[in-house]
Amino acid sequence: MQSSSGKSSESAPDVTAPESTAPQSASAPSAPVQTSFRLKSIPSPATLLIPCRGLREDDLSSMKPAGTLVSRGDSLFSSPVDAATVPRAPVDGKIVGQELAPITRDVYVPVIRFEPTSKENVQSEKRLTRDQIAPMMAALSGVSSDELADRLAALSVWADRWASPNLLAQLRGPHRKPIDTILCNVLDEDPAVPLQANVAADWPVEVVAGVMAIATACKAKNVLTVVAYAGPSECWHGLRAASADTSMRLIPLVNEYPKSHPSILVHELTRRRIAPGELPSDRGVLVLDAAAAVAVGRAIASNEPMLSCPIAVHDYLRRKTHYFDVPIGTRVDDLLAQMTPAGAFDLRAGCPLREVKLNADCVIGGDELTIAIVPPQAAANVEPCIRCAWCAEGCPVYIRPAALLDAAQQEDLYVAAQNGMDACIECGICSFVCPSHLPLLPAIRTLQSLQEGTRSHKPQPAEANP
Amino acid sequence: MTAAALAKPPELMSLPHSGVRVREYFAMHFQGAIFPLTAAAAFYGWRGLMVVLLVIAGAWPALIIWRQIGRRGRQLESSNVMLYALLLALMLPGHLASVRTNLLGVTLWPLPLAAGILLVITIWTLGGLGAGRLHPVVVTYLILATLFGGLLVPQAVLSRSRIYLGDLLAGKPGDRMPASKDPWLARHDAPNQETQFSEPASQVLTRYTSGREKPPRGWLPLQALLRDSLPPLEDLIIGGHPGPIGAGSAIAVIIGGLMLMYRGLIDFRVPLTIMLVAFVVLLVLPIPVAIGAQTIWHSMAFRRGDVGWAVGVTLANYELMASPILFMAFFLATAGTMQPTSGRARLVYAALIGVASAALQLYFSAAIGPYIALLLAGILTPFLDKIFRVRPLVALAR
Repeated sequence: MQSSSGKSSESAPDVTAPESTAPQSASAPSAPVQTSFRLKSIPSPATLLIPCRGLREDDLSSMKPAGTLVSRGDSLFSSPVDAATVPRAPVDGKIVGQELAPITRDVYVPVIRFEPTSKENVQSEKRLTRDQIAPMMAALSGVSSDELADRLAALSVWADRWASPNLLAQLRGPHRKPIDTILCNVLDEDPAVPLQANVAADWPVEVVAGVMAIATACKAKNVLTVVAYAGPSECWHGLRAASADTSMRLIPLVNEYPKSHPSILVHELTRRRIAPGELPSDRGVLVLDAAAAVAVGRAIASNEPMLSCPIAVHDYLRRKTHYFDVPIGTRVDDLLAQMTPAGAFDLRAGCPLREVKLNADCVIGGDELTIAIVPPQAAANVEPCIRCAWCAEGCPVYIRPAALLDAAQQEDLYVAAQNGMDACIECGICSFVCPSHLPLLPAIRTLQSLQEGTRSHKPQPAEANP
Repeated sequence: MTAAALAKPPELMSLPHSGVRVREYFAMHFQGAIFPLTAAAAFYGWRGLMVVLLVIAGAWPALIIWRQIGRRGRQLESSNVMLYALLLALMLPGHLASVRTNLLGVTLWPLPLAAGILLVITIWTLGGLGAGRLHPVVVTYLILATLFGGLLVPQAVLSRSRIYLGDLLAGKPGDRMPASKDPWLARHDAPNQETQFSEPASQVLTRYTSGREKPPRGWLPLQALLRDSLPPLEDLIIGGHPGPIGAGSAIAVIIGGLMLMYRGLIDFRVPLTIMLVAFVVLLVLPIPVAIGAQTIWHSMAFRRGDVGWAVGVTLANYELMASPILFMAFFLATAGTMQPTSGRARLVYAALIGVASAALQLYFSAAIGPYIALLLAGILTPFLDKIFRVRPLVALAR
């Protein structure tokens, strides 16, 4: 168990939303109608660790030398890199060096250590207007989705998270089926923490511009934006007003965890099933969330790179939610310094049911937009499986977690495949409801790692036929 | 995840939890069992409750002792054992809570006590908590029925004017009365008559449908059996007819089952399918339509001159209400250890129980047929789980 110590700030900014309750049950209805809050921009911390996506540590040779001063928005590489996105300086500052840093507790990526020279506010105050959307779409009429992806990558626009699959990969394809539907997912992963809804309420025109830009490049006929039925009313009204002159349709849905997962959402709206390992675009649907749509809208309409990302920190101990706009590369402990968590706590990325652990030294790069401060969990007293089948009945994708636990204990990948291991979306509902407190989600993750290990150790043709 | 990401193997970690642990899970089932228990108190008085207490009193010390025996013993969960003890007690007749009485002439109270001990031994033997595919309650009951068959036949029910308060064994053996056509609710009780003794409908039905009936006047058609030898159907629905203390009142069992459904503890498809399939099979399987020098067998599903659908439906209703099939369907067949995981497999499982239960009720015993059917279907559960593979929302990899 990893426990972080609480940090205090001398002047904690008043950026808290009103009390929102912790999810009491997996199928709890959405919270009552909430009001939106502007995201609070935080001053740049003393050090930023800017992730280099799609690069290995030895690929950083074309990085600008240590000590180089760069301005806000400049590339940190001296020559074009064959990377998913081009790392850029979120503020004016100095390159210090390179290293590996965690983005969650267990996943490390190469990062560029960067020291800001000013504590300026990084949040963009530039706002798009509805009038800019139509010319932007006209300008994109001859642009392919691949070209759009290249432009976005050059502007550091990137999204690959639980509720918003890899945006650039979805745009680039290859697509088994032409993309006919663009789905903007404004549903929040944790209905108690309406970050996406707040982002959409804050920047509705940017969301519409981003979605319509992608729809134009992909030549998609259906443009859908899914909004939580009980979310902030400003979100709905803002999006409706911003999309009045476009073909975008708003769809209100009751947001029950884990409905925001693309597999479930795409199936509910289009009846298309996404196979394991596939992106929604393989089934003709491109999914992005509101935060990604804002980044795309700003990039295409204003040529503005993505230098910050919205983050919600939900303090389950004090039942308060804090909404921030933080520079890419901020460490979690720098963010926590903006509030005053009390006593010992653990950190989780996303909805706590997913049980993705974070350390205070993890880097915020847009992989997870919600951080939960939860009480330290005591070691569970596991009891034998009583075959109540609650795990299977509660599973949103209809697999058999208890059978997968058996398979994990026997390390039997065949039995695991028979019981739907590949289809698991790792929502954690099975572990949450299990009366025996069995580690079902960790067992599934163990099986998946086992499968990845088996695949990576498969003999190559050359090895198999010496 | 980026290509350059380095993943470490996940560790087993403590997880957020709903708070419903094993103890609470089984404790929630007591909410459903309260209704049959209340019916037991109403129709069988203090002796009915005493049977429950005796079974629990036997199970409790046995649980403490057997918990010390091996790893399996440590897995015995008190709430699970107490729930099973309550269910077993509800399957027993009320007259077991007796010392030597004029009516019975034998002391029976050690029997429920021993039943509680035997239940714990059976749970342990079958593998402990959550293990095995044989329901320990059913196995224990069948052992008791095999050893003490005659003693488990219900004999009496309290009179309407003495519910909750009367003594089930107050009276004389000669008080046994033929089936009355007056419903229990409207029956005029003799002064000071606490109890009504009669032969259980399940016994009468079993003798007839299995062809073992010896007609008193040389010829007994099915209509005459329904008219003269069986109590009004509403007595079986309410519980004003001798039966197992918890399973005797169909309405109490149904309300208890609905409570379990409301709490999300049982799958409604299982009891519903069992009852529907059993009803249909009871109509389809051939039964004697007349017993005399020669027994005439006929299926109620096919129209015959003097025996129509009305008679068939009436007989099927009697079979369902007189036997413990409702109790089995709601409280035993829905146990996690018994039923398969997938919905389709559960439908097949329930259908199998319905078919076997109807057949065993008709040709073997209406009192224990449903329990044997449950055991048979439970054995097939692992195979059903293998046959019916998962159909995830997310398409499986090709």
